[in-house]
Amino acid sequence: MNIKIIPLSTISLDDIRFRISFFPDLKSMTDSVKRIGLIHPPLVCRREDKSVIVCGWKRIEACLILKIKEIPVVYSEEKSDLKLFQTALFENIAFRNLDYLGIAEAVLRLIRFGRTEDDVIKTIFPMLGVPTTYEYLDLYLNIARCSHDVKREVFQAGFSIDAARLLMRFEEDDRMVLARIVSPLGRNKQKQILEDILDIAHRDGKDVQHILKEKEAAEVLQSSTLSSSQKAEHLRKYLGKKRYPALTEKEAKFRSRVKSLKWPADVTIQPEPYFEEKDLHVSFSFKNRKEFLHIVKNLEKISQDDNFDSLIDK
Amino acid sequence: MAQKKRLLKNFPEKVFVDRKVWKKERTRRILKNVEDVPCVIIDNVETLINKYSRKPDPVGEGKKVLWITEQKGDFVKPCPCTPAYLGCCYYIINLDLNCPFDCTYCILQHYLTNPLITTNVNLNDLWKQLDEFLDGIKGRFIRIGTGELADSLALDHITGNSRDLIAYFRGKKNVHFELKTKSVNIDNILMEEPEENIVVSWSLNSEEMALKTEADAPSIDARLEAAAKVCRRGFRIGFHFDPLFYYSGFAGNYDRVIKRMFQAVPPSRIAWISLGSLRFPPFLKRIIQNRFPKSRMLIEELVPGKDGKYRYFMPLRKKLYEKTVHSLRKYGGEKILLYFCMEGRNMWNEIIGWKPRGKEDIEKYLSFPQEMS
Repeated sequence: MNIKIIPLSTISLDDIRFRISFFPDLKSMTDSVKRIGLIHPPLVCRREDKSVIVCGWKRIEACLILKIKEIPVVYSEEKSDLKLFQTALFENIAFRNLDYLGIAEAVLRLIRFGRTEDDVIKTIFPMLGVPTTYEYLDLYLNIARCSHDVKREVFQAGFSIDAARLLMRFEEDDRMVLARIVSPLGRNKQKQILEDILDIAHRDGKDVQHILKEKEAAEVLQSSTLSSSQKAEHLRKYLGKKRYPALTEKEAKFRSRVKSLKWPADVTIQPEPYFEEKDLHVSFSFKNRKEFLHIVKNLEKISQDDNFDSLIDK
Repeated sequence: MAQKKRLLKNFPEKVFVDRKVWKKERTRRILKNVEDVPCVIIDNVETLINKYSRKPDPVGEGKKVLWITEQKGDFVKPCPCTPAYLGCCYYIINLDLNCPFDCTYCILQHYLTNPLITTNVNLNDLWKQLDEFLDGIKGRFIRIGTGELADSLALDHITGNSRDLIAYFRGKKNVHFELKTKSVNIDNILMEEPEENIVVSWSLNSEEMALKTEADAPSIDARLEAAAKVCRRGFRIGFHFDPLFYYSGFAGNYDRVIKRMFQAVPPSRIAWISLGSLRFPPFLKRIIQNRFPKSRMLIEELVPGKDGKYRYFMPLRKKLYEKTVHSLRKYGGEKILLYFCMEGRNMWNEIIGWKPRGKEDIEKYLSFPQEMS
């Protein structure tokens, strides 16, 4: 290996055979290079008369942003792509934890460069903190083989690996549509939508497009007044109703009974989660005896209503 | 031999023997029963388990091999039940681990880190542990069985464990010993003299759900035929409707199997019947979807229970139990002891008509199943 100063323009940005991080946060790197220059030269190699980046994409992209003309690079004479890639990978994981998108790209490349699947599971997964099973190999390969657009959406929406795992169970065409729909939501809600839609599709024997074109869903998705996060939230509720009709009906009945009793707004009444037990939970807050007695009196009055018993499951 | 192959297809395809038990008499006995199967002596079990765990379907691959070893820890444990629901003070003997049947809902797919079908041969340690255990529970009447982490009889033509276990428990005054199975592997049982405190139990389901979710297990008719034979031999019989499935047509389907059950075994010979609806920890859903992608077992309304496990939404579950218990009572099971596995006090009260204060109450309730008639 030797260090050379080369024009940035001679480095190939099209050859991504060694690249594992596609959505880097360049701001901190750009600030750093601007302040103190490029301290660690990127690692490159020669392939078909091109200088191919092995390690240091983020540094090179920062230099491009800063319009730096020449940079120092370490040239490797290594001819084996596998050996070079492993060098880059091991260096990477020595300094940072790879996110699951990075792990996915790494796994795909290791296999492309000649490592066997069993070997990757046995020797690489433990280094990456990944369970040593085929299930995870399949998951990472599926993620790596997604379109770049889907990966970007997944990255930008901050999908958890569990949500990404669910997304991989859809057809490629549906992945992009769903990733965009759920992206404004938090991780648990993203997962919930994907899970519900998968279950509904399986239960009803319908494809995703069909479910999303059903009247109520289509109205939500095509609405010109709702924001994208409102659309996602409405869709989540709609799918929840569709997936759990008996639970939804029971919740609606409970709410309507509470309403018919003119339940005070400052007193919360909740059933057990999923009505698993019959107990109801009432909570309220008060600042003084007067407030306390006022609420208790109000509740006592409600308890004398003929419909009060309708709250309680027989 | 032809019958054995019919019982378990070609299990095992391979036998691994822990070098530590290679020379034990019991190991030799087992190996004699699988003498036409390739056998490898193993020094490092971790390497073997890791090798199987890395296979594309570790659970499925593990079901093809028999691992003969010794139990290093406790054989006897209280059944772990589940938090926030009522237990029944059952005790389990972990003699064999894993099962050659491939049931879609099986918790063992997730529960055990070792996917191999394992049989432990250090039964002398088991007898010592059981002696100590039974000494320690004087004044109580307990139930104990081998069917929690394994099928009690599926490997019995290979291990012969049932005969030794029956011999051990024969005549023990404060314990019911239960062999719980889906198999029809009853030759060893039929060679034994019946005993009041030995119960042989079958897991049952509707024929439809057994076909869909209990791969490689004998049909319901075959199980009932085996139960009838064991009953005629003089043993008392238990039945476990677990997991019960809520699906369109469940009531009629369970009604049919219950009717057939009473035709095979008269109510007076049934020690107990347990009921448990489908339940599973969240992680099992992923395993089921991966291993059985076409299964429709998970399409109903399954919601997290108080223990975090998925269960049918309460009103559906209640309906499932109501209909099943109605059929049980209708066909002659008015006096049979019914109990729930992993349900709450309210369910007991509403379906069985009795609200146990705790698991100790249930232990007492199940301590005196019907006397032999």
